[in-house]
This record gives sequence, structure tokens and C-alpha cells, in this order.
Amino acid sequence: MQHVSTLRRWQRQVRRDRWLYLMLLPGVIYFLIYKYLPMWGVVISFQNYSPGLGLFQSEWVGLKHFERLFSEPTFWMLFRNTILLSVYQLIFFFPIPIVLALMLNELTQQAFKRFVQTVIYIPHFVSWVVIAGISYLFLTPEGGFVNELLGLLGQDKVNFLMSTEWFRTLQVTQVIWKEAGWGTIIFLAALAGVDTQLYEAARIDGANRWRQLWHITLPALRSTIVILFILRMGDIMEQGVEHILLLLNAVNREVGEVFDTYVYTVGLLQGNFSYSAAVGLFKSLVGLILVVAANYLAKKSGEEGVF
Amino acid sequence: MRKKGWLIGTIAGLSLLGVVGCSSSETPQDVNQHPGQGAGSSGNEAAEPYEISLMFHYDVEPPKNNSEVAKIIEDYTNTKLDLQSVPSSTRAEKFNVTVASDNLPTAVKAFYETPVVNAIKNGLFWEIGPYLDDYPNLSSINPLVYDNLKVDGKIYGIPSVRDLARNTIVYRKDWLDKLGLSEPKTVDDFYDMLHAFATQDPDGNGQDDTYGLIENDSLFNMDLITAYFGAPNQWGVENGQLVPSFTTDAYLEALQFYRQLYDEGLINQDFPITSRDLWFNIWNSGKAGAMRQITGNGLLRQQDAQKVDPEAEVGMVSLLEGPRGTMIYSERGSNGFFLISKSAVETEEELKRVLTFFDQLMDKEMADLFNWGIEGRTYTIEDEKARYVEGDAYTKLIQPYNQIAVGDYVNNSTPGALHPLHQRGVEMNVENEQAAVANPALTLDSPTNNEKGAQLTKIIEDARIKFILGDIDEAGWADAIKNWKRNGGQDIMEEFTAAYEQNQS
Repeated sequence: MQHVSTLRRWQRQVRRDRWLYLMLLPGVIYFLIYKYLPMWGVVISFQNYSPGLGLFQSEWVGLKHFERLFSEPTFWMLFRNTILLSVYQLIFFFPIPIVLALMLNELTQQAFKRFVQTVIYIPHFVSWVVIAGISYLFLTPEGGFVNELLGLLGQDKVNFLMSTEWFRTLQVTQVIWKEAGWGTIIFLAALAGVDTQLYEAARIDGANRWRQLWHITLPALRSTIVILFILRMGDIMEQGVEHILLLLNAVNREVGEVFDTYVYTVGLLQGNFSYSAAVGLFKSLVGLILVVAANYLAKKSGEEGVF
Repeated sequence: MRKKGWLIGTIAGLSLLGVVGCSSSETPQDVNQHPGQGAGSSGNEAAEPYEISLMFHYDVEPPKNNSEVAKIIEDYTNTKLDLQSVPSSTRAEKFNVTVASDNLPTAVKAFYETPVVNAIKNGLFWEIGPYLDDYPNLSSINPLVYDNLKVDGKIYGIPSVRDLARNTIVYRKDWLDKLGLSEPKTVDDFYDMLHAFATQDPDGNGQDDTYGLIENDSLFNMDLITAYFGAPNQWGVENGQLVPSFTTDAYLEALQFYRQLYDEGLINQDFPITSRDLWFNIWNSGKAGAMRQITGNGLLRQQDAQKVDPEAEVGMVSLLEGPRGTMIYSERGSNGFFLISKSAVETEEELKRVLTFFDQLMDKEMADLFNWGIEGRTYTIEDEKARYVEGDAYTKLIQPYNQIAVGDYVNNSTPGALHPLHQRGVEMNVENEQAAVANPALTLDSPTNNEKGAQLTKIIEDARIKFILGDIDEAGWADAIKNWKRNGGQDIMEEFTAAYEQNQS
């Protein structure tokens, strides 16, 4: 009986909001066709996919490709490099947009604030190829600006681009240079939503700038920070493949090769579609587990999660 | 309220249309996939142009559909061409993506690489061997070239033929003359030349800013150097076993020689991060003494060098005597080959029509187009010999389409009055062939190599560079070889040996 009434209520609701549902439809169709349908492609990671035979006739091989991945002698190197780069970014890159946003928020001159914002957004639109080119010009030992400067100061040349020690520093620095400004957008948006009455009240109570920042601004940002952190955990196995490929060379490969560049080598250059799909699926699984775990922990500690 | 509902409804409807519109814009591709439909039967009447889509790569300027050159080819072969060109840097990726998405054009230009061989084995392309006899031009191609492209003993590709041994060291002859040296004949002479180029200020600007030899991140000169020291061409045969060149003593000697060049500063010190483009830039800046090129490009390098230093003159030397005699590596004898796809060309009848097209491309008229261009515009004829007009008319107009040419279009076309450097290159290719050593594993099959070859090669490629930089020593090099063997190299050796024995018997 209750079942019938639920159904009827649902029908009534759909009829009442039919235009809204119709507006929803394109989005739903988009996700079905372009996001959910291609997901079935992961079955090729359990097959020996051959383009001639197609998805349905290719031979099933079970977990063979996963076994190969885990028994690959370079597996732990790839794992370590990937995770280390991500952790470095969490430590050194992640806080920077927050600090930048807080600093921008303290500016009182609106025109100046907007100018600074625009300037720090620009690197986001510069492609990695250009950044790699600029880095080369600055850092090459053959007449690069930085090394010439070191030479003038009587120092030894440092081969930044061809060393295992500098690779991660260089990678993270480039990411910071390119993306830090762009990353402030979401925090600035969150800051714009803070009720100004809170600040007024705090001032009347005698709170100084630091106190206001600590007790009003940061708590207002907390949920945004947590959510972005959770999303970031999902990307822990991802590195910008284009960026890393441009930095990689024979000397730094042992610290620079990550899962994404590995997939590029075995998948695109060598044409092992199934194997690279298996590597991709493994990456996604790790990301999923981390997102769920981080989300669980966030909820446990009283924050709002992503889902 | 009603009014508002209509408004929202319209917006919803329009956005729906948007989705549908987007998806329907993909349908023309489907049509492209089967260009032969309908046209196949009309091929007999010779009225309707037959639709052919071609995928190939370009270096500088992309070719254009409906362009003047495309029209000439279309008119001559009675076809309608759809040229799908890709930059040569992404050629290999593009092939894989096209194969994976089952989006193959009528014919695609490919190279003998693992993914291509795999695609052939998967039956995506027509075997053309049995049909060749019916096509006078296609069957006139040197059988050795076809042999070097066989997969499982069968012919699939229509090759763009080129000489077998075209590699050379291009050097600054004006510097050599200025320093009072003569053209090197031995590896020691070669070393002396590089040393003088790097240290004796051959450009006379009073600064120590010249290189003997310039190198890039792919260790491009290495193949010539290892040949000078007598290492086999990629693979060698020892006691009936196939062994990779880099495990030989000769190869190690070549590496040690190269490390010496690096230590003494005769090579650009940042070569592991020098891309191909940057590498050419060094040459163009007039700071480089020598680099590996093909004989046909000597003239281009001279023109490039003359932009900075009008006095610049280029010499070429391919054969140097080393500790084990004089040798050079031979190549496959082709610059890629066209594969005809089974998904786009469905019937045997259509296949024959496509083969006719390629056969016609080898006619003298077409060979002239690819090699010389358009008479009066890019070349002139004097005394029955063709001569390029001054300037870059040929490069601009014809070069983008060059990759379509099949067969030996240089020799099929009108003989030309060549620039002395060009002429020298042609002669050198003939001389080189006498000293050429072939790669015995050229068409041998190894499943492990197909699966892991690219990764394994990286182990060796990285180790070579580290050895030259001095990051690892002889023991480190031996470790890299051990590493290569352990991770699958041993299997590759065994599989190649088995395949080699099978071919011999």
C-alpha cells in the first residue's frame, strides 16, 4: 500500500517538475554516453585485446596483465617515484594556494588585488613545452643563465636537468610556478562567502588581524581545504604525463619514471593496449581506495566529506 | 507561470538538440571509413574518381586536400584523395591510436616497428604479395627491399624505396682546410679532426666556443661510431647464436671512444637534454664541426651553415677505417611502406583498384612530380636534365607530399643536373653499399621483443648515455647488460636464434 503511494507521489513530482527533469536530461545523457559507456573498455585489461578481433572476440586471459605488472622489476621504482612526487606536491604545493588566497584576501585595494590575481593566473595558460624550454635556457650547463651566474660567483656548475637529486625539486617547483595562482580561485571564492558581520563582531570584541584570520577566515576555509585534499588523494597516482616526459632523460629516469610515463612507453609506443589498460585500472583502484579512506577519516573527524 | 514553463522547455529542448547535434557531427567519419563503397564498381567505367584516403606523416608543412599538387595526383590516377597527415613526431602514436579505434584509412604509411608488425599479424591489412605480378611498376621494385619488410614471410607493404647505406658524417670542410687537415680516412684521423675543431678556434672568433661533434638525446651518432669499431648492425651472429651488438667488445670500445670525446669536451656537454630541434640549432649557429646525417642532406646542412657563415662549406665522409676494418650499417632500403587496410578496402576488386593507384604513382610522370615538382615552377629542363630552380619552391610546394611517393621515385624520374654535393652523395651511397653490413634480425620475430622490446631498449639506451657521461663505469655497463638479459633479453636472444635457424633451413 505504501509502495503504491510512493510511486504515485514520485509520478506526481516528476509531472510537476517535468521541465526541470527535461533540463537534467542532456547532462544525464552526456554522462551515460561519454563517461559510463566507455568504462566498459576496462574489460580489455582482462583480455589480450587485438584491434582486428575487437572487444568481443579477443581472448580472455584473466589477471595475466596484473601479474606481469606486479612482477615487473621496475614496479616498486615506479610506485616509489609516483607516490614521492605526489607527497612532495601535497607538502610543498598544496598549502601555497591557500596562503596566497589568504594574502590576497587581506588586500584592501580592490584594483591592486585584481591586478595581482590576473598576473598569477597567467602561468596556468603557459604550456609545459614552453616551461620546459624556459627551464632549459635557464638551467643548461652549456651557457644557461643560472650556471653562468654560478660561474661568475666562482661556484661549480650544477647540472640541474641531468641529475637524480634535482629532478623532484624541479618538478614540484615548475608545478608551483604554473599552478599556484590558478589554485587560489576556489579558496578566494570560499572566502568571498564569509559573512562580513563576523569580522565586524570580532573587531568590536577587540580581535586583531591575526585573531580574525585564525578564528574566522581559516574555519571558513576548512571544509573547502578538506574537500580539495580528499580529491587530491584520488590523484595520488596521477602525474602530468606531458610534464614528466619533457623532464625525463637518460640520467634522471630512475627517479622520474612514473606509472603514467610507463603506460606511455608500453601502451602508446609499443602498442600493448591490454597491459596499459591494466596499469591504468590499477592506478584508478589505488586512487579510489585513498579517496574513500580520506573521506571516511574526514567524516569521522566531523568534517563534511565529498560523498 | 505557463510562460515560464515554456521558456524552460525551450531551453531544455535546445540543449538536448545540442547533444544530438554533437553526436551527429561524427557520422561523416563513418562515411570516410568506407570510401570504396559504390566507387568500386564504377572503377571499370573509369568515369567516377575512386575515393582513397591516405594517412602519412610530414616534417615541416602539412599537405592539403584539394591543393594544386593533390589535384595533379588525383587527375593522373582518377581518384579523389583524402589526405590525413600527421606530424612525424607523433607518427607512431597516431598509428596505434588509429588501429585501436578501428579508424583506418584506405592505406596508411607505416614503418617496420613492433606495433605495426602486430597489427599486420592481427590481419588488419591485405597481403599484397600474390597480386604484385599484375602490376609492372610494383613488381619492378628490388626484391631485397620487399624481403626486408616481410612479416611471417609474406609481403604486405608497398615501400618507398631509398638507398641501403646512406649514413654519413657531415663536417665543416672550410674549417678542415683552414686548419690544414685533410679528410679523415681512419678513426684516429676522425678523432684528430674533432679535436682540432673543438680546440683550435676554427671559426676564428678568438673564443673557445666550437664543438667537434654534436650529439642529441637519442645518441644519434652512435650507430656510425660502433660500425667504425666493427660492432655488428644491431644484432650479430656468433657461433650460430644471435647476440645483440651492445654485448660485443667492439661496442664497448666504441663507447669508450665516445666517452673520451665527451671528457675532452669535443661534444656538447648537455647532449642528453639536447632535443633534435636544438641539435639542428647548434649546427645552424655555426658552432658545430660535425654531425651524423644522410648523404642526401649534405647540401641542406651547407645551406644552413652558410646563413651564419657565408664561407661555410660542407664535406661528407662515411667510411672510416677502424680496428676491425671498414664497415657501415645498412638499413632497410625503404623509408616506410603503405599498408592497405581491410576495414576500408573490403573486397579483392577494390584492393586491385587501390594497387592500380599505387602502381600509377610509380609512373615516370608521378615520379617526376615527387622528385622534381612542376616544370617551370620548381624545376627546368636543360639538355634533357632536370634542374631545381633557385630558392625553396620545391621545398614549399612538393615536399609535404613526398611521403606519398612509392618505389624508387628518384631513379624513376628524369635524370637531373645535380649540385656537386648532391652528386657526391649519390656516389657515396653506391660506395657505402660495398662496405655495408646487414642486420640479421631485421624481419625475425620474437614475442618477448614484441611485448617488452621498447622497455628493455631503454635500459641499454640509458646506460650508454650514463657510461659516456661517466656516471657508470665498465662494471656498471656490464650490469646494465645483465639487467637487460634477466628482464627478457635472454628470451629475445633465444627467440631470435630459433627464428634465424628456421629461416636458414
